[in-house]
Amino acid sequence: MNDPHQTFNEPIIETRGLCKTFRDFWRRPKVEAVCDLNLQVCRGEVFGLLGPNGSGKSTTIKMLLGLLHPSAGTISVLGRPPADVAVKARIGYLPEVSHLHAFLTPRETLHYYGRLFGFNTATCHHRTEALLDMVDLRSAADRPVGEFSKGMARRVGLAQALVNNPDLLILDEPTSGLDPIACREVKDLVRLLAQSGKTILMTSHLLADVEDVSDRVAILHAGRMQAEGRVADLLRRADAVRFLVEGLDADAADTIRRELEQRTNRVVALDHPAMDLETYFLQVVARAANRDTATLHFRPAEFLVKEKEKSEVRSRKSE
Amino acid sequence: MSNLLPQNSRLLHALRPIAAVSLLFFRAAVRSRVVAVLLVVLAAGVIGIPQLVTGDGTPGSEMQVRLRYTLAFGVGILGLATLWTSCAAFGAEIDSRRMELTVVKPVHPLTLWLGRWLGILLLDALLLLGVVAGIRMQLGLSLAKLPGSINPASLLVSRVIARPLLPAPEDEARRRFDELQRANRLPQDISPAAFFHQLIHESRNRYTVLHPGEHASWRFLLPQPVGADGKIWIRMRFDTEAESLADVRGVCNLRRPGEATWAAEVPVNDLVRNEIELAVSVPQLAGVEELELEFVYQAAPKTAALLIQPRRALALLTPQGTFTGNLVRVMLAQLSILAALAAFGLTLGACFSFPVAAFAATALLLVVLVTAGNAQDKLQDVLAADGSPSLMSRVSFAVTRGVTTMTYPLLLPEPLSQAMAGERVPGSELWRMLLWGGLVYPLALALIADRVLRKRELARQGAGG
Repeated sequence: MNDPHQTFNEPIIETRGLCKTFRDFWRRPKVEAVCDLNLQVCRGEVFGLLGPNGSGKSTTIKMLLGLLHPSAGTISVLGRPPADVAVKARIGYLPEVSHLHAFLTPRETLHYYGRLFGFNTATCHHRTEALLDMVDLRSAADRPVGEFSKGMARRVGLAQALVNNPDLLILDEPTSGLDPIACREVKDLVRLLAQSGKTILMTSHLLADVEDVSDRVAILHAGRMQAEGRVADLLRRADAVRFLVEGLDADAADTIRRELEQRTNRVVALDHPAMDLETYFLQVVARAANRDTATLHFRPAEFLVKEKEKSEVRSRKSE
Repeated sequence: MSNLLPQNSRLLHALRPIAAVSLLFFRAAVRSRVVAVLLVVLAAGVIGIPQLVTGDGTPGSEMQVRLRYTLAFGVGILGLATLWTSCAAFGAEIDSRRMELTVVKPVHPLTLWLGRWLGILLLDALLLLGVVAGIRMQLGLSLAKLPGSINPASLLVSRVIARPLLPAPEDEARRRFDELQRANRLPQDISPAAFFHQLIHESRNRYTVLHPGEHASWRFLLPQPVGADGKIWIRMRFDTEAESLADVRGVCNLRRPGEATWAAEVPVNDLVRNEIELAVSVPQLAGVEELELEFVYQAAPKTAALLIQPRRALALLTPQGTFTGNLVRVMLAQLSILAALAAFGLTLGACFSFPVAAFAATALLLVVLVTAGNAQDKLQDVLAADGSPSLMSRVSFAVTRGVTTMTYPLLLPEPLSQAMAGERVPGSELWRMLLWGGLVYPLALALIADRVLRKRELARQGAGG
C-alpha cells in the first residue's frame, strides 16, 4: 500500500451532482441508481468504491466509462468528458464479468485489443507475450477463451485491461472468481501499479481486499455516498489504544493488564495478535510447495513498471 | 500524441483498428461455422440445381439454368446471410455485452462499423467468387460434352447491345398530345396529365405491325464499331396470332445506312419460338458504327400479322470482352447489392437488438422487392383517378416512388438477365451500382449508425451494483 501520509492533488476522476435514473420504455422513472454523487479520485491513488448490491457502484463506473449517460451532473475523466475517444487511450477497464469473444484465444484477444489502440504488430506481440507471462496463461495462450474457467477468463480480462499501459485503471470486482493465491497476485499488482504512478479505481464486495490496497474508499448505499475518506482514518478507533509488544511473558502481560484496569477502571482485554487468514493460507501453501512464497509465478510485465522509473525521475526534477 | 506522428504513421494508426475489427468478424464467421454452413448450402445449390432443373437439352437452356437459377440462388442465399449476419454484428454483440470491452477502447463508432462492413464484404466476395467460379467451371464442362458441331465458345460470349434509334417516348407522346390538342380531340373522361402519361406508356410499348409482304427498317448506332470478323447478332422477339410459327418466315437485311445493297440477307424460317437470335458474319461491315436493319415479312398472304416492339424486342449485338470477364462484372454488380445490404443490416443492428433488427431488415427488404419498379403503374392508377385520388392511393404512390427512387441504382439494372442473354454488363451501369452500393448508401448508413451509437447506452441497464 502507498505511504498513508502521501497526498494526491490532481483529480483524475471528478463527478459533481452525478445522477442516473433508469427509465422504462415509456420514459417513466424506474430506478434511481445514482443520486447526487460527488466523487474525486486523485492521481496516483488507489480508490475503493464499496457498497452492497444495487448501491450504484457498477452504474457509476459505467458512467465514468461512457457506457451509460448520466441523467444529471457532470463527469470529468482525465480532464475530459467520458465519451472523448482520446481519453479512452489512457484507461484500462476490467468489468465485473469479462464478456470476451469465446472463439478467440488469449493471444488473439490481447492482439485484438492492442490493435484497437493502434499498436503495430511488434508492440502488440511484445505486450501480449509479457501479459500472458504475467497472468500465467502462456500454456493456455492458444486455447479458445470459451473453454476457460472463470478464473482463467478473469486473468485474460485483467491482461486486456493493461495492454495499453493505462494511466487510469478501473477494476470492477478484480478478484472475483480468483483463488487466494491469484487474489494476492492481483493485489500485489495493484500496489505495484500504484507505485508506478497509475491511478486505480476499484470496486469489490471483498472488503478485506479493498482495505489491503486502497488509499481512500467511498461507501455507497442506494446510489448515495454514505462515507468517504482515507482507509486508516475511517477505520481508526479514536476511543481505544492498542499496544503491540513482542516477547512479553504471561506474568508481565498480566501485570500490565491489572495496572491498566486500575488506572482506567475498565476491563482490559489482552490477546495475541492474529495474522489474517489470507496470509496464513499463503504461508501454508508455500510450505507445502517447499517455496519461499506462494505467489511464485507472479512477474509483472516490464512495460507496466517502467513508468515507475520515469515518475521517479519526474519527481526528482520537480524537487 | 498522434499529431506528432508522421502522416503515414497516423494513417496506419487509424487503419489498424479497422483491420482488427474486420479480422475479428472474419474469425467469428469462420469459427462459428456460419461459413461452413454457407459453403455447404452454396455448393449444394451450384451442384444440385442443374440436376434438378433441366432445360430443354439445348446449350442455351444449359446456360439459362446455371446463370438464372444457380447464380440467382447463390446470390439470394448470400443476400439473406449478409443481412442477418450484419444485423448480428452489432446487435448480438451489444446484447451479449461483448461490445462493452470494445467501446471503452479509443475507437470511433465509425471504425467499428467500417471494420465490420469490410469484413462482411470480404467474406461475401470470397463466397460469391466461389459460386461464380463453380458455375463457370460447370458451364465449361457441360458445354464441352456437346456434339462437335457446336462450338462452346460461340455460346460463352459477351456482347454489347444496341437498340433501334427511335424518338424518346416522352417526345413522341408530346407530339401526339399536341396534335390531338390542336384538333380538339383530347379525351374528356381523363385528365390531361393522366392522358399524357398514358401516351408515354403507349409509346414505350408501341408495336410495329407487319402484314405479309410488308417490311420495316430501323437504324442502330453501335456502342463500338463492328469487329474485323464482322460478327453481329440480330435479336428479335415478336408476337403473332399465326396458327403455327412455321408459317412465320421472312428475311433480315443488314447494310450501312444509305447504301443501295444489303451487306447481309439472313433468312428467318423454321421457327420454334417467337424469339430469334441470328448470328451473322459480315466482314464487309467491319469498322461500321451505324447499321440499318430491315425485316421483310414473307409469310403467305393470309397469315396473321407480326407484331414487333422495337424498343424492347429488337436489338443488334456485337462482341466485346470475354464471357468470364462479363461474369466478373456480374459478380461485382451483385457484390454492390450485398454491400448495400450489409450496410443496411449493420445500421439496423446498431439501432436495435438483434431479433428486432433482423425482423425489421427482412420486412423492409420484402417491401423493397415488392414495391420497387411498380412506381410507374402506381402513378397511372393515381392519375387515372382523375383529380380525386384517395388518400391511400396517394400514400401508396408516395411510398412506392420513394422506395423506387432510393433503390433504382441497384435494382434497375439486371446483370443476371444480361449475363444470361450474353450481354455485357455496361460499364456505366456497373460503376453506378458500385458507387451507390459500395459508397453512397454505406456512407449514409454509416453516419446514421455513428450518430446512434454515440447516443445509445451500450451497457445493460441495472446490471451489477
